[in-house]
Amino acid sequence: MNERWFRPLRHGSPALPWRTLLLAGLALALYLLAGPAPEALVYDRAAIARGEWWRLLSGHWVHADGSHAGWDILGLLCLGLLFESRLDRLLPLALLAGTAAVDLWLLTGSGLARYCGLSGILNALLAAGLAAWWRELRSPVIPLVAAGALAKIIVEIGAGEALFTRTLWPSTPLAHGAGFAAGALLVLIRLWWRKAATGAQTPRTGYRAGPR
Amino acid sequence: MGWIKPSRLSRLLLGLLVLAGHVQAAGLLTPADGSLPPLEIRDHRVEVIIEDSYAITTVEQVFHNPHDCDLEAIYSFPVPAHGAVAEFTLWIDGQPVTGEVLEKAQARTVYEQEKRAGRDAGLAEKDAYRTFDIHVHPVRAGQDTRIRLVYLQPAEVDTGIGRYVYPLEEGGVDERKLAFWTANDKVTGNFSFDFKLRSSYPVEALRLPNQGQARIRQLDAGEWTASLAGGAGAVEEGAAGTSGGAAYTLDQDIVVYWRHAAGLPGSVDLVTHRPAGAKRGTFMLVVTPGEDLQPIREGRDWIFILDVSGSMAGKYATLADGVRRALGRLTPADRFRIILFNDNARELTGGYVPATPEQVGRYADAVGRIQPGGSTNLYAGLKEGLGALEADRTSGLVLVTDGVANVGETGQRKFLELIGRRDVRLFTFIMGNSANRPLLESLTRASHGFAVSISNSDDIVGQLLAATSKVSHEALHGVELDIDGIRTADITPRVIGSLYRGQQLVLLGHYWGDGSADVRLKARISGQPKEYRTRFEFPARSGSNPEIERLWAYATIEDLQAEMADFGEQADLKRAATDLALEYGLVSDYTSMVVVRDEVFRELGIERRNLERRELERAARAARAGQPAQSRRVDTGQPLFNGSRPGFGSGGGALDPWSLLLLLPLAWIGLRARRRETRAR
Repeated sequence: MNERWFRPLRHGSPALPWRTLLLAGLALALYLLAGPAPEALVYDRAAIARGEWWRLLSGHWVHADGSHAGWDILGLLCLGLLFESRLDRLLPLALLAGTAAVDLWLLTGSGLARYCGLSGILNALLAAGLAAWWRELRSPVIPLVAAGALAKIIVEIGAGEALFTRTLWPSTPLAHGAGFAAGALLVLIRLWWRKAATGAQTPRTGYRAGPR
Repeated sequence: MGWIKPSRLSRLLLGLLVLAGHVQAAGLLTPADGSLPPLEIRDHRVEVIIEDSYAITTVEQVFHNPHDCDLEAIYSFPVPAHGAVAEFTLWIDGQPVTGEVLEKAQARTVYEQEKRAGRDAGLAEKDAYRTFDIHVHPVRAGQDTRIRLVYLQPAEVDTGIGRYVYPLEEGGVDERKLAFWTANDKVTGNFSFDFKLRSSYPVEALRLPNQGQARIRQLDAGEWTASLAGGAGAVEEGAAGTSGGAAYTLDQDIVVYWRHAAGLPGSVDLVTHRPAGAKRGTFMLVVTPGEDLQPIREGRDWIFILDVSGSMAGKYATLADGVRRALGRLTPADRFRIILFNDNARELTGGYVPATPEQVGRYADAVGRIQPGGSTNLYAGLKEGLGALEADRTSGLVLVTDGVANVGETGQRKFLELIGRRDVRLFTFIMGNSANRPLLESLTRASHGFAVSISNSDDIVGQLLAATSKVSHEALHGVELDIDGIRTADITPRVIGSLYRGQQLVLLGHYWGDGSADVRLKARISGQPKEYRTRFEFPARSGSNPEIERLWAYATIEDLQAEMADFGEQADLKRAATDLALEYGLVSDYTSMVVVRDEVFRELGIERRNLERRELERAARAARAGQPAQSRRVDTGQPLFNGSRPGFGSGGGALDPWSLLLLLPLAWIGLRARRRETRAR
């Protein structure tokens, strides 16, 4: 086979999404070992109020049924394969931003008693990944994909449920919206940060250049 | 040639008849032998109003006789859960005439007399727990006849999800009807279903599963409407939706769900009716507990007792799907057994099986492969299930049935004795509209379990989720409610029993006097006593909800019937039930509603009490419609519960193939970019 295609996948290569593979393995292991919607790990508002704070994190990595787990883990693998190398240090930030945004929505806006699933975080990853690609590739396909993803989220929020999936626990498209918004916000913050940093350096450069 | 035993013959016939599927829906009945030509349902219009605690359903129909001779119309539809028929109106000479309630035999006699005399008459009868049957005579040759039917029922809200069912799908469990009638369930003209929800609590969503064409609108925080329309007739101005061109078929239940806003507080809501000058008032108290019940974590044993009789044929796919999902909810620490019953009972599992994913998959597949057939020996199924219990483990029995025991032991008392032998909770899933709900609810009550109704049109996942959250949490057992400071009596249900997570407690009763009352709710949670207290006012006068008088009366009649079914029919109880139905104008097992010409009512000396009551209710309904939904909460000063109401969790929705397809163009530009990078190196 073509050596060119396999080279990036060799051990140690930055092109292989190791972090994504690790996380997907974790989600898969949790599903296989703990089963669907494990009582001790799902987001449970009452339990969190009693101090079981780990559920704010663990709830995202457990799933309600096989189909729920399957599609989410497949989604994570696809997004990781596409975006991990380009997101680089932004990857953990995107994951954390997605987690925080969905948790914030769960605690303040949704009022849901129980929740589980990765899809909210995946939407943060999607938004951040699309922005990273746009910076580098400037392909018109990228905003089109972003618009398509956003339109799907908006339609699903309007309908109050996911259009194409039926999982054991009813779907909450607003979690997708929260995740996507968090990813987009993260990119904006990063742009602002870079602009601020670049702006701060400019006068120094000018000063140095001037009298000499 | 050998003789076929009568029981085998009847089973064979039943099986064939179920296959033939004659009466499987609401509709106009025609003799199966073709001795009379069929009539048509020209229009079928349904209007439902739900105002917090109860639902009012109005069904208006037009029957058409395309033949050249006068005919009798017999319209049959499944009994709605706890539905009290409160009005039957027949248009005579273009004018609506409202029916009056008489004892069943007397009503039948009056109807037959009028029928023989060739005069217009109508009769609404209840066929036990199975159907309401409407007789109208004559539907004149080549002409239309219009009728209206109104029934009331408590509105059901569980774990923050309200559920309303307009029952149309007949269960196919009544051998007698199956043998003699076919049902014409086609609406040749217009069909419409208009649903209005007026809740004083905010409602986040409303939906009709399996009704993609429904138009849903939110008018206010707690006010929603939904409408469906269809049929072959032309669209009238103002009618919702568009005509589909094809005849609408009344063979599928219409189910409506609404979801209350999350995080609402536990509450006590009080609806009263007390006309000016009346010493006695009627109240409806709805207690919605706050989240106070902890999850149960230790492994348990589950015994699934599944009805695989012939009458389950149309519902079996729903059952198998439900069982698969229920098994999928078990943890590996749980164990399960599966018992099947039709003519006899047999075990599918051969002992307890650990609920590992492999075993769950294996037995879910095995359940799915079964072909239902035969009769319903419910007693044998229950007996086998109870015999499988092990004393040292916490166990639950899950019974899934359409609930018409027709072979083996069928007496309710025997069932109660059987369930009383073991200390076990029975959780019953009642499939379809024709189940022997009184029997199943009695059994469930006796074991301190709960019963869930399932329609083929239900969101089985949602129903399962609600049931799972109940069995996986502690429950309030031995619930008692004390009201001090105000004299109350005639409270129904007399014994409350257990309240599971998400369940509301609905009490109806009478009160005397007015002013403040101390209310205490006492129960046990995992053996520990628990008490909740509040204080609120009972009003001296209130006239906006007269319907609750009928709701109280019907609930009391159901209590009396349950008592008779448990301990045998007693003349005084039967008399009490009959008198209540007569006083409050309700169609029951002992009373029917008859419509004759006004002059015939006068000739026969039949008082127009129901007409007066109907006018009072209509006026109250019109007055309510002009106002925003009123809050009925009475414990805001001293809340009975600290926590908010339990609600549902959500999966967040998995990504789906379409989301992943969106990524395909990215994969393409990613590959191109990589190729460019490789070339550049």
